Amino acid sequence: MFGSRPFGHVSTVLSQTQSYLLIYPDPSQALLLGVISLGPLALSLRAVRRRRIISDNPTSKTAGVFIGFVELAGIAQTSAPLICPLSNTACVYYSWSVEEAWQRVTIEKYTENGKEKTREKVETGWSTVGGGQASIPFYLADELGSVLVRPDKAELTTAATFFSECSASDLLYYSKGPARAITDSTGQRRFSERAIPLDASLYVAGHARERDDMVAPEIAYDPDAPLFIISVKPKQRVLRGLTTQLWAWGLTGLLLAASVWNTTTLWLPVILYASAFMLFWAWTAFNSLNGLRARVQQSAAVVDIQLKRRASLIPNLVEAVKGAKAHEANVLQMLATLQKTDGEAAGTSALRIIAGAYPALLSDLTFEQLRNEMVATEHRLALARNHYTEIASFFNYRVQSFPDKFVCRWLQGIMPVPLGTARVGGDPDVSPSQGNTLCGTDLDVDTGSEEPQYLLLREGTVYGPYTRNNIESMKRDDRLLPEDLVKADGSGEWALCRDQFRELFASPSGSTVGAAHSSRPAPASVSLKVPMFGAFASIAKFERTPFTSGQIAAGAVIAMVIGITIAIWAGVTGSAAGTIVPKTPGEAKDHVPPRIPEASLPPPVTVEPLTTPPSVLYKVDPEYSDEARKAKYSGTVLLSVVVNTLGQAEEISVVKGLGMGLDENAIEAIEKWRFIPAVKNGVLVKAHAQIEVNFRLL
Amino acid sequence: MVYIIIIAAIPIIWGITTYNALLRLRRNVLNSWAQIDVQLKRRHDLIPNLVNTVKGYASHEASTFAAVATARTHAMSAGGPAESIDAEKGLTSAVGRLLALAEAYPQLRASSSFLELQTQLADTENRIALKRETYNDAVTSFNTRIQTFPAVLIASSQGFVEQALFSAEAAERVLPEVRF
Repeated sequence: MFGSRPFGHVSTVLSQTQSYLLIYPDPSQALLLGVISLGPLALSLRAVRRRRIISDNPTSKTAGVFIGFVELAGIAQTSAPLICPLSNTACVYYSWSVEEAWQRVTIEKYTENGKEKTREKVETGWSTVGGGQASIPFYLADELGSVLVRPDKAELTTAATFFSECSASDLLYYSKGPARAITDSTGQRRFSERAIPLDASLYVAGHARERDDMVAPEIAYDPDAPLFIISVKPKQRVLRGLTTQLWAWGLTGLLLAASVWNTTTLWLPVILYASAFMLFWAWTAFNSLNGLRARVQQSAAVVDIQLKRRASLIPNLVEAVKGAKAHEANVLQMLATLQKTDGEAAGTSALRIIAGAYPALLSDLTFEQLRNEMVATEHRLALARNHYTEIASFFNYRVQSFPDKFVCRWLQGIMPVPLGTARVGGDPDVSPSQGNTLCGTDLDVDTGSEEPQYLLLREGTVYGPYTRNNIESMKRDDRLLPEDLVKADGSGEWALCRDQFRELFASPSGSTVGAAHSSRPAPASVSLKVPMFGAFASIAKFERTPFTSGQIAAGAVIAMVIGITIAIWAGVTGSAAGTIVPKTPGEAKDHVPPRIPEASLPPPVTVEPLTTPPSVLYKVDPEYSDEARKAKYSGTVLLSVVVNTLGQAEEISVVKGLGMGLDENAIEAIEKWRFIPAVKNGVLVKAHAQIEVNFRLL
Repeated sequence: MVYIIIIAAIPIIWGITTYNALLRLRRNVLNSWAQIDVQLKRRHDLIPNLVNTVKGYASHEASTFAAVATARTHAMSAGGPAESIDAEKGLTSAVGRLLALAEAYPQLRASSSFLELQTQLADTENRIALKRETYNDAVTSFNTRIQTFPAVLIASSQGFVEQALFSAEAAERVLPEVRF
């Protein structure tokens, strides 16, 4: 179709170097085969894209499913499963088929040496004579809950549940197969069945949407979703399968491209194919990184939604309690001290203590409902934060790893999401240094630091890393609380700040703090919390770079067109020189991204709080007895009490008494005291306490 | 000649297809934003029913009813997201006070209509959260698509700009203080 060698005149000009030139067949044939080899190349890149999507997304829990693309691992469950026809096991999907063997003898005519001869030809094969499939929606359950999955139009990877070859004398032959034989049947049938059995552990990746029948998400086919997979293999095996596909198709395409040439000219098609692969891979990687960046932003927004939800629940809680027990002053005091309990979500700790002190509230349906909502919201908030941390840290890792680093550098619009690297004490709206630099070597500055780095943990979110100076300046600004957990980057143990940085917390700091020490009011902690997470949101919006994506993309197109033109021109004229065999681009090794080890992240809500001893909520001064007053006697009575789960003192006994009726008055006073009961393993328990009651004459 | 026409037609066809796809995604974004408003409105509409149910048993708690009515009017007429957040918070607070009345009126607590309304209110809150997630998902799909090469080449020239995700205001990020 190109006529005869349109560039022929060029090659005659260069004919004196013909010994170095390579002889090519007709350019049109070369082009055709080149184009055909793009087919496997496209399939290979499709596998690349799917592999990246799956490995970029962290696996969520069913309780943390949000509307969007999610990956889950769990067990298939349903109350009314299907029964597989061949294996009679309970399942949620089955697909079975019956094949019958046939054999045909045909007479074939052929010519040999001008004479017509006949011979027998035997053909065999299997043809399908029966089969079927069925599926039902099922629940994917893990330890936190379950979510509905609708498997229609999903890509299923099933388990083989039945396989048998039998002859006509077997029971199976006619019981599960058709009564009539096909033509030329040999009397052999093959029954096979594949299914997703009940209670099989599955890996599901797909789009979650709202259900029609209730206020909950479900996973179903969505035409805009990048993929919808239900597999009995775990995530790692799915990834490995995709890697195999990627390489298989890539090499197939390479062989197709190379087959055009004779063996001495192998390097040119390899160059062409490899450059085409690299260019199209860069395109795939660019789109994939874009999609990942958008999902990171979406993940941050999911956290925001849950924060809003929680913000709207707490006023309800407050009103309910006020309404119920508004006349009791100590309730208000109790609520006022419930700002933080070590390691627990503050909302649920408030609920627990109120419920413990006022069991009558437990039967109140309003309170019951609020409690359920609160627990569910705190749960979801923690799960959403975990998801954001994981996906953002993986994004950071991606843009710094080879070869994505080059795509990133080349297409400057993509920047990593900083994880808690907000400058301490700085304006939260000013993005930290990472936000302003291009992705690339500038970002490697942090990792080489010799100074010990610390990570801080508060309410399930990890911030940092910070240097020692950062920590000290945060303490000076009252942004660091003694109850925050700190861990040196690289070690495995979290410790309380007040233990780790004892020297910082030992002596009260200067006069400006003063009385605020006693109760550590929330505003001090708020100022640390808001800028850091606020910084996530503002940076997650991704400042625009000097070049718009459109300009970058246009540049990429031009580069590609130029590259392909040069390649084709080089091929046709044979003016390429040298024996460069480019390395095929390799996939980055499967580094485990620098995840915060799960052991050091407290699980949501189910975290075991430290055992807190009982503390005094309010006390009543004891009365002096007349005897002691006349004698001007003063001193301290030491009493041992058991604080029960209602916050009252029981079993009051005197350890060291003063006599003169003071002991009895002390006991009387203690009976009026109210305590916050001890908490152990998340449960209110009775605890011993020793109390000193001072008698002092004014 | 024919080949040239065919080759030239490919980008045109691609352009039309992509433009339609972007239109569809943007329409999804606007639809899902409207859905959130529908749910908020549903919440506003549930409240008079709730007030009437409680009035049947606790008619003398006039101040509470008045507070709820004011808060509701305020919430429905709020202009702009910042105002509406405070207004919705005020409404939630007033409704909470109303629900707390049930503590003192056991017949009210046991009445099925009251329980049903309570459940519906809680349901609406969950629905609102889900609709917000749906909106965010629509925005993410749209934003991703306009950044994808090669759609990015025509997106900004055709007026498809990046949409904003739903986010909490700074005031809602902090743990709400229990204050009296």
